[in-house]
Amino acid sequence: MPFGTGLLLLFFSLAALFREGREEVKEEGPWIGPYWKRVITTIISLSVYALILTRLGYILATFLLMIFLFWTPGYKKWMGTIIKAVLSVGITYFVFDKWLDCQLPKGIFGF
Amino acid sequence: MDVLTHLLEGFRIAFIPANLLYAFVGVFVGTLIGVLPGIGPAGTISILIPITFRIPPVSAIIMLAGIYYGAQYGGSTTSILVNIPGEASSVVTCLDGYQMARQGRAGPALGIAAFGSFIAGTFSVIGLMVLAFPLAKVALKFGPPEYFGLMILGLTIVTYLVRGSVIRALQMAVLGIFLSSVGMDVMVGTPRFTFGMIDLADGIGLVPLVMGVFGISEVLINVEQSLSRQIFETKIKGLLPNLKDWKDSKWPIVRGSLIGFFLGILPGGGAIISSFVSYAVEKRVSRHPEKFGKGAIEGVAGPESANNAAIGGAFIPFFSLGIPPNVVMALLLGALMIHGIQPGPLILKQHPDIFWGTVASMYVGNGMLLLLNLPLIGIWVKILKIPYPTLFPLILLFCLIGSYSINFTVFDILVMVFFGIVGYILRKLEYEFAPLVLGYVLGPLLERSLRQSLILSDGSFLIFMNRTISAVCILMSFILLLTPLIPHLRKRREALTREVEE
Repeated sequence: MPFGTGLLLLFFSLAALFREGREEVKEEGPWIGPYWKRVITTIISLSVYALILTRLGYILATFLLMIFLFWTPGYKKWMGTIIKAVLSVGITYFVFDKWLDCQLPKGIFGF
Repeated sequence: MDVLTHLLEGFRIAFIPANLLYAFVGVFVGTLIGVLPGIGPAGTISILIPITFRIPPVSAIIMLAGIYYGAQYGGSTTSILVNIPGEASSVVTCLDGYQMARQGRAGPALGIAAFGSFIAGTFSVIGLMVLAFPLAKVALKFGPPEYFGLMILGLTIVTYLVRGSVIRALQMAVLGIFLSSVGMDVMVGTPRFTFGMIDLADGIGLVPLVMGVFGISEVLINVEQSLSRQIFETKIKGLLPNLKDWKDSKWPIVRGSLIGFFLGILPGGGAIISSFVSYAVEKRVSRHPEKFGKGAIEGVAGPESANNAAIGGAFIPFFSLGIPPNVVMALLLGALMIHGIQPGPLILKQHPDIFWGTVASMYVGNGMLLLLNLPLIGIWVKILKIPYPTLFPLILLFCLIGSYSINFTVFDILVMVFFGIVGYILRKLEYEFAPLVLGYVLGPLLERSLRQSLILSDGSFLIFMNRTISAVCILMSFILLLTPLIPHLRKRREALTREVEE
């Protein structure tokens, strides 16, 4: 079965290559948006979060992530960023961990 | 008579206070994410699946179904007020709804969308009740070859109806089937494509996959652009459509309900396609097609009814065949299977409470939505004003929690981020993800039915041709796949998809 699907994928990809190779390339807008750096920082921050989550625990790791994400779009207001981060971490922690009993990782500091 | 007693039992279940609460949470969250662009029902349901592990299966499906139809109501609000479709299924509502709002008729547009949705939703629930049982009776006689044929036909229809290239859609469907084969072999249990990683032994999780390609990649696409957007300021007054509005919308609502319902039954049809088709039909039958795109109320009433009716339709193959016709239903299937319940012809016998409870809750939920949407519309408009820089970290956070709490492993987060990146690139290349996810969900079912059929026939593929139903399905699939090769028919398909886009 996987062999068969692999074969089909190969077949359709070749078909796509043939068909689209013949079509003229249309002029389109820029392929990458003006703020492409944000895409990369977002991906990196999510990956780093996955790595530190079990070590630092949910509260600390998420707080750091939220600070970073709220801050990247160029908001210079630090107070607003911190308040939003604290609120989002606090509310999700209580809803998921306490109310819904979804055990979020505790980390080495025990919270 | 039998139906009536069952239905009463269903209402008894739906009116249990806890279930009323779950239905309310469902439609409330549904409307909320429907209003918010950038997060759709598929993403939301995958986030909430882990929560439903702890509640009874009926309540779980009542809540998740509520999100699905609630989102259709909410999606229309943003389309009309700000010209941003909250959901893909309300893209066409923008065309005339936003024009109506600019002419100061936002109220009637929102009103007719809500009433049309309510009427169509109720109609499709009745249709579901009537059609599910006969179909399930037939389905009980189906063996593996019939299921195989049906699923092949379903996948073919999805790829055929997707906008854009059929070949790309086929690539996605096949890739989805391939991804589903990672993990334990469905028949004999040998690990495949795990590369010795224990985390991959159970395969790639549905939730991380869906949240990656729908949630994360959508956010990535959005953060790349400038994050400020403009909100059209308008006073909403007089939500009730006047008599002329009703007269104009009466038939579009009826036609929209029928179109939505029957397209909803088809695999891959669902809310998105049916709203497009309804718009095209209204434009064609209208005596003044030039008004379309300039604020014709028919252009709001028809598609909005169709996308709601499609949901009742979509539950038919789900309950009676156990085949999910679209991505959201695939997630519901996953949720029920976690509870140890396999949707299919037997569910109506073994768990009548689930079927009737869901049906009854959909009546109740539609009523709640009408109350929630009309008087409270001002609140939803306020939510629209949450700036995206505040919104997107929250969407990401919910995706993170959702993917983590399925199995409590960090590995799932990485899988999600990985598919987010894959999805981001594929979106740029104009690939659609519906065939991918459907292929992924149907993959194991497809493989099992194929291999069981081949065991039945001692390895001969002729079994699919000897059984009438599977032969018809497979032949129809071939015909659908071959039509794009005939230039004349290809032009007609392209014209069909283009007409609705314009």
